[in-house]
Formats: sequence, structure tokens, C-alpha cells
Amino acid sequence: MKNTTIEARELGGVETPLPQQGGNASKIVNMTVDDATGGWSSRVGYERYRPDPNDGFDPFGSTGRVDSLYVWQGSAGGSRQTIFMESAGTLYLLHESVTPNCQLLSLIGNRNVPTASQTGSSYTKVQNGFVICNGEDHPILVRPWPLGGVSDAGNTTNQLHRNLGFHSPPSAPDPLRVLTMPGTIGSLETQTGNAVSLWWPTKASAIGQYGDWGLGFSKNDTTSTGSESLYGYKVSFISDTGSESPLSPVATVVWELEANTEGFQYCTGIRIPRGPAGTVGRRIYRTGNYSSDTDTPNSGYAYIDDVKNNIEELFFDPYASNTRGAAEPAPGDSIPFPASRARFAATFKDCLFLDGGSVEPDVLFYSHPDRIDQYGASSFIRLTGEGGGVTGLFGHYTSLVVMRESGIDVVSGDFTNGFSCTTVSNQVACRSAQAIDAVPGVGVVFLAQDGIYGLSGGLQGGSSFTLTRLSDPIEAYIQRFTPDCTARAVARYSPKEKAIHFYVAVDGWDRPNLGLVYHVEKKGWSTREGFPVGAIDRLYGGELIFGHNEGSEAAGNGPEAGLFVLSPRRALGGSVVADVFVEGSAPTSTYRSAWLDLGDAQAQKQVHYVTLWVTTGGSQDISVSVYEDQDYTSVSTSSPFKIQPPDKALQKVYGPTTSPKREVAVWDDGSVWDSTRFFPLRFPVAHKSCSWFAFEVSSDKDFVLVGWEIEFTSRGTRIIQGHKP
Amino acid sequence: MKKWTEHQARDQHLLDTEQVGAEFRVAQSSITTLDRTQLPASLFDRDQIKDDVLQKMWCSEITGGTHPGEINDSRNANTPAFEWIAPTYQSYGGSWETLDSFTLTGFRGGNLFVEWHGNGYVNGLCNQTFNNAYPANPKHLNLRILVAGVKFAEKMGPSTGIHSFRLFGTGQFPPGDHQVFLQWRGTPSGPDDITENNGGDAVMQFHAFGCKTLAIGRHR
Repeated sequence: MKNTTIEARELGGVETPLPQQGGNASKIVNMTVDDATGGWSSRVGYERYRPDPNDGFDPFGSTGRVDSLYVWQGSAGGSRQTIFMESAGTLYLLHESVTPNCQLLSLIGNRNVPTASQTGSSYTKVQNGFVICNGEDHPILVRPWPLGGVSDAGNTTNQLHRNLGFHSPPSAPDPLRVLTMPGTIGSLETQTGNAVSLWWPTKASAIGQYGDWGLGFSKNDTTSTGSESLYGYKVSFISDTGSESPLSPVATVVWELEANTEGFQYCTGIRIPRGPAGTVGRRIYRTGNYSSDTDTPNSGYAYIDDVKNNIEELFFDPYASNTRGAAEPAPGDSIPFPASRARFAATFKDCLFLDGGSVEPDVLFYSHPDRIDQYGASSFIRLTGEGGGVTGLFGHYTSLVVMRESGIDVVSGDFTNGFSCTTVSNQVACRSAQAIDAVPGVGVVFLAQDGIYGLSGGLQGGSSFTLTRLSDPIEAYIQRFTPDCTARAVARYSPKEKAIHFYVAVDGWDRPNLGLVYHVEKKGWSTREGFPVGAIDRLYGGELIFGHNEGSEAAGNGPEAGLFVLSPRRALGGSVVADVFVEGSAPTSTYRSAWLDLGDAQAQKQVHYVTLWVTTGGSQDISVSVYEDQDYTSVSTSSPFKIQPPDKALQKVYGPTTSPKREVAVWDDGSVWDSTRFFPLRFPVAHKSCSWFAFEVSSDKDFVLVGWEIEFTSRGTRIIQGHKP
Repeated sequence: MKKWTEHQARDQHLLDTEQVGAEFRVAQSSITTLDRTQLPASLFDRDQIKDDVLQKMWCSEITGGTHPGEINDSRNANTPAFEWIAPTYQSYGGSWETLDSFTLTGFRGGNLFVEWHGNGYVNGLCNQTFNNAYPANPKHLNLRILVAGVKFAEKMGPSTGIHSFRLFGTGQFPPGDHQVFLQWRGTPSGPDDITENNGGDAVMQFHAFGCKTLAIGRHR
């Protein structure tokens, strides 16, 4: 009987719902897309961030579970890439510019350690630094650069961070009394503390620039003390982000001229408060003279000057009222920082958005544009509808995506014309703030409670938002999520791999233990097992870096700890044994085909050959296991074959010279570099007739599977009926 | 930029050019793009660095032409005996004049610091015009430094009597043997200024002396 052949020339991703498309797979574990062929390659693994074999896990030896991770890019060209991570409630900075080993500098301690149902800290890039929020501690502004060199870096860490925003208005300034000139000019021997007598002549005969400076009346031609001058002062802090604090309470100073005096105006002195960390200046506002003695009282506050430091405490005011500047800001222009329990932040249209945290979970506060410490009294959006509290923020093109407990909103608009909020979905809810990233061609991809979605489109130019459920093909994996721990899920897109990696807690675990990888090129999924990802981010080169999900908390001596990089290294990390780093074994990669009905599920078929379209990998063996009728136990496994071109001379391989095989390369002996070849590798398989057929290739060797063929016969026997009761 | 494994060579694996190529490419990339800021602090010591590789300094004890440290051009030799031989309004017609120039031989590109310090003199007689007939008319010995023809630092300079001055600046410059010019410019005389004495001799107006220079190139 002649064999029938079916083939899959191009392989798709995992598809768990039944029946499956023939080119898809039931399982693709620990594989990635091979750039050269577009097939599935087993070249995946992870290695230490610092790969020096002498380093062990330094400087992470005692680092436990990494709860959050952030790679800060401070300069174009990646030259100021700084890595931050949180573990056991401490925010660390990895200082790599020191030898022999880099240092893990402790930046801030006693921070909240997220519970199993809490997401890790969120990091938001802002001008010259980033803002870190965790919903429990006050949001912190970190400015990582410049940091000192080898000896002083540890001492300068305290200057790298400060609380975001202004806690409170400044205290009121403290004016000094003004001592006026006596009727007979002489020395002011009666002057005491907290008083000042600075004057400026108002007569042309006294000085060239007469009357240019000074406050208040210059003349009292009555026979008694009078001509009262009354001024009020307010002060605000200016922070290093250009933000202005709320205005201080008012302080006033008043003086009268002595009888029959003229020729002098006075310069007041005030003591001004110093601001909190981050303050770089103080701004002073003043009224005109609004005493009852003046015909034109002016009690409006206007700008008079900046004190461009946070050091000086004494300010002398020589400014005449007609030289004052713009009117004071409105009282609601700056208020005390409103989001001291913010969980998430995002920048959008130059404003920093923060959620209200556990105190006001359905409120979004936003700063003035590019002034991230300054918040107006009306600069907030109260989210309406049934969506619930904010669970994540993500700035995307012309919108800010607001993830909520049970819905998705988007914010659009700008600061000048006002922001508005629109609901995109009331059904899809993302509670995994660290599992959101932008993916080229797909949009914002995020982990929701019921799967993984892509959000594309916008609200401008007639466009609309489209939610696409990307995880339909991996529904069986979605069902395995530990429901209450999805908040701990993490995700990041790797431009190098052209894939977005999700790491999720499944099967009751409290921390991520399964990787779900969406490959943009294939528009399909694979999974990762054995990758202990606790937190993840992207390096400048496009590689994904992750923090270990257990670290030194794991059992045994010298367990993995700290930071690792997902790479084609054929190892799952390693361990320190007797003070020496030992690389872990290569991960096992598995490709299991879809359940194939080979044309008709009712017909009984017998497969004789499974032919893998592979590229040569060398003299390592792989074999094919056969599965029947949805049974997860293999019925047979083929003989192993080398991944070498059949019926041709073997290509040269690396190998030990002690017992050389004929294809082991001998240096300088005619061996030449070779290139991979694409060829069919035909495996005879044996099994009984079946309705559904599947095969599996599983190996820790390197192989690239591009497609497959199956040759089978069917005698036409059909399933007659089911078992009788 | 740090790189991790691209394509690991393993036992019994093919002698794959792509494997070697991928690893070699990233290693090359890392080495090519290394700059000084990415080198470990103790990678090399002083003995391993050729002179002037990282920085070079040019410094003069006293600088400038026939009369080192002084203004050489526009000098008037006919000033009275007790005065300096220095520019007078008879010998100096205005505009910027070069006190000295020197070449930053072997500047490799990067940050450049140039400093010029010395003493400047301006005759105070002309600050207040003869008989105070006109408004005050202060004179300055304006100073500037040009590097590669570009203004690098400038100051108004001394006025009225003798002052020491220090003029310096920094900037980023491409590699090259750039020329540095130290230039001065006196304020032109005004109406009724005192430019000669009773005997009809030209009166010294501007002078600079004891000028020294320092330049430091910090190469990328």
C-alpha cells in the first residue's frame, strides 16, 4: 500500500484548544525562533549577569528574592546604564564602575516587601532619573548620576534620592522690624536684634540713583509719628525639577516714620525658611504698601525675587512696589503632594500621573507639565464607572492606558486643555502592573485575569481602540494561573528576540514559575520552564535581564542569586559548589506536534515515518517519541539519529581528541569551518493504528526544527462505536 | 556594551561559521565601542600609558615674543623715561591685537582648558576726562582667548591702574594642533582725553606684563 504524506512547511506556535491546526504544536517548551530559518530553535538558557567564572554570584551572594528590577538609561549610547533592584525591602543600585567586583549599593532600606498578591514596585523614567512607587512608601525620586567612584560611591548614595513632591507649604517668613531714621541723623545706637535699618536716599542731592530702591513712605511732614508702611510677604520653594511649592502663610511687616523726617525709604529684611531635600531656591512674593495711610493700597501679592539657593536664611528686599513682577500663583496652583501612597506612575504629555494608592484607589493625580513635584488642586481625574481602583498605568502614543480592577480606561488630552478619561473595556481587567509592555505591531500587550491581550489603536484621527485576545491558543496554560498571585506576574518585550516574555505564578506557586513567550514573527506562543524569573527588565542591547525569584532563600549551598540574563547560553544558571561556580545543565527543549487526524479522525491510521526538517547541529542525537489518541504516555520512541545530513559525509564537529570519532575536527589538519545545512531527517516509527497521532522531539541538545512530514497508511478501518455501558 | 552568549560552542556540535561569527561579532562590537569611562579603574597603571595619551598640558613660565609676558605690538618707545614702553594712543589704533599665540601640538580631541593670567595696566588719567568736562569715560584693557579662531573666553579686563587678571575657559574641541591666541583691546580714547604730557610726549595708556599661560587637554 502506498504511503500518504502530509507536511508542515512552516510551524506555528502552541495551540492547546482542540482540534488543532496541523502546523501548530501542543507543546513548545524552551525554544525560540531561529532567525536564519524561522524555525524553532532550542538555543535558550540563562546566564549570570556577571559572567566572570571567578565571581560566583557576587555581589548578590546573600540576595534573596528580587521583587522588582529596573534598568535606567541615563544617556544616549547606553553609557549610563544603571541597574536597580529591590530585595527584602531594600532598593539597591548595582554600581559597576568599581573593581575587582562591582558593588551592590544599598540606596533605601525598610521599604515595603510585596506580599504574594502585591505587585512589585513600579519605576517611571522622568527627567534625569526615575520615580519609584510601591503603594506603601512615599514615592521616591531617584537621580542615579553622577555617582562617585570607587571610594566614595557608598557615601554619596544618600544624595541620589529624595521624596517626590512637597509635603507641606513653607512656614511663613519672619520679617525683621524696620528701624527708621530719627529726625536728627545720627547713629542708631538703639538698634536691637531682629531689626534692620537699611535705607536708600530719595533726594537727588544725595545720590545719583535717588529713589530707585526702597519701600514705603519717604516723608512724614507731620509733627507726630506716622506715614505707616505695611507690607505682606509669602514664600515658596523651588525644587530641582522646576516645581514650585504651595505658598507659605502670610507674614507682615509695618513701620512708621518719625515726625518731620524725609529723604529715606527702607529695605526690609526677612528670614526665609529652608526647603526639604531637592529644594534649589526660594521664591518671594510681596504686596504693595496697603496701610491705611496710603491713597492707593495694594494688598495683592506679586513676585519680587528668587533666592537661588537653599542656604541663605536672610533676604533683604529693596524693591519698590512698581518693580514687582507677575501676580502670585493661584492658591490651587500648587498643593501639598496628594499621592503619598501612589502605587503606579507614568509620564504622559509631559505630566507625571500617579494613582491615589490605597487611600484613593480610583483617582489619578497629575503634575504640572515637566514639573513633577507640583500638583494643582484640580489636577486630578476621578475615575468613574464600575472599573474599580487603578491597577496599572502605561503611557502609549497619544493615550495613557489606565488598568483598573475590572476594566480599562484611557486618558487623553493635555494639561492646557484638560485631560479626559474614556472607558475602553469593562470586561478585561489587568491586575498585573509589571506585566505590561509595548510590542511592535501589536500595541500594548498585558496580562489580564483571563488571558493575555493586545490593545492597539487610539482615539485620534477617527481611530478607535481594539482589544485582541492573544492567548486564545494557550488557554490551557492560562487556566493554570494562581489566580490571587497574578499581580506578581512580570513581562518585558525583547527587541533582540522579537518576543515578549511573561512570567507567571502557576499551579499554586506564589511567585512566577512559568514563562509564556509570544513570538512576534510567528504570531505564536512558546513556554519556558525552569527559568526562575522574579522581576524582569530590558538592557540597552535588547537582552532581557531578570532577578531571581528565590535567590539565597533557596535550599542547599550556593544557590543561584541575583541578576541573570536570558541568552542563548545552553545552561540554566548554575550554582556555587565548593566556592567554584558550576554552570547548570542545559534546559530540555520539547516540541510536540498538534494532535493530527491525518485527514479523518474516524479512520484508523498507521504512521511509518516522521521526517523532521532540521538544520544540521552536529553529531548529537535526537529521537522522536510517538503518541496516540490523546494519551500523554508515549507508545514508542524511535532510534536516535545524529543531526547530520543523511547519506552524506558527516560534517566536522567539536569533540575530545582522546577518543576521536571520524568527524571530530583536528585543528590544522584539513578541518574547515562549515555552515549548517537544511535537510530532512527521517525517523521510522512503530505504533498501532490510531485516530489521532502526535510526535515529540525532546532534547537538551541544540536543534532547529523548521518543518516536518509524516508518512502513513490507512486501511480504511473506521471507529465503529463506543464502549457499551 | 556588555554582551552575553550568542551561540555557544558545545561538544559534538558543528564547526559552524555562524557560531564563531556570532560570538566574534559581539566581542568585536564590545571592544570597538569601549571608551575610557567603561574601563575598569585598575585596568592599567601609569607605566603602561604612553605620555600624553589621556591628557596633555602646555604651560609657559612667561609668554610672548621679544618681550616675554608683555604686549609686543603697538609699543611706543617714545614714552617718558619713567613710564613703561607700552601702547599709547599714538601707537595703538584700536581693535584686537595679539599679545601672544601658541600651538596646542598633539591635542587629541576632547575637553580643553586654557588659562591666561598676568597683570594689566590702564592709565587712570583718561577715566575722568580733562577738567571733568565730559562724562566719565573709563578705559578697559579688554582680554580674550581664541582657540582655533573661535572665541573661547573673554573679559572686560582691568581698568584704572594695575590689576592682576586671570582669564580661563573650557570647551570641547576636535583633534588637531589648534592655535591659541591671547588678545587684548584697549578702549579707544574719548574727547578731551589726556594722551600726551606737557612736553608733548605720548603717555602710556595700556600695558600687560608677567603674562603666563596654561592649557590642559583631557582627551576622550
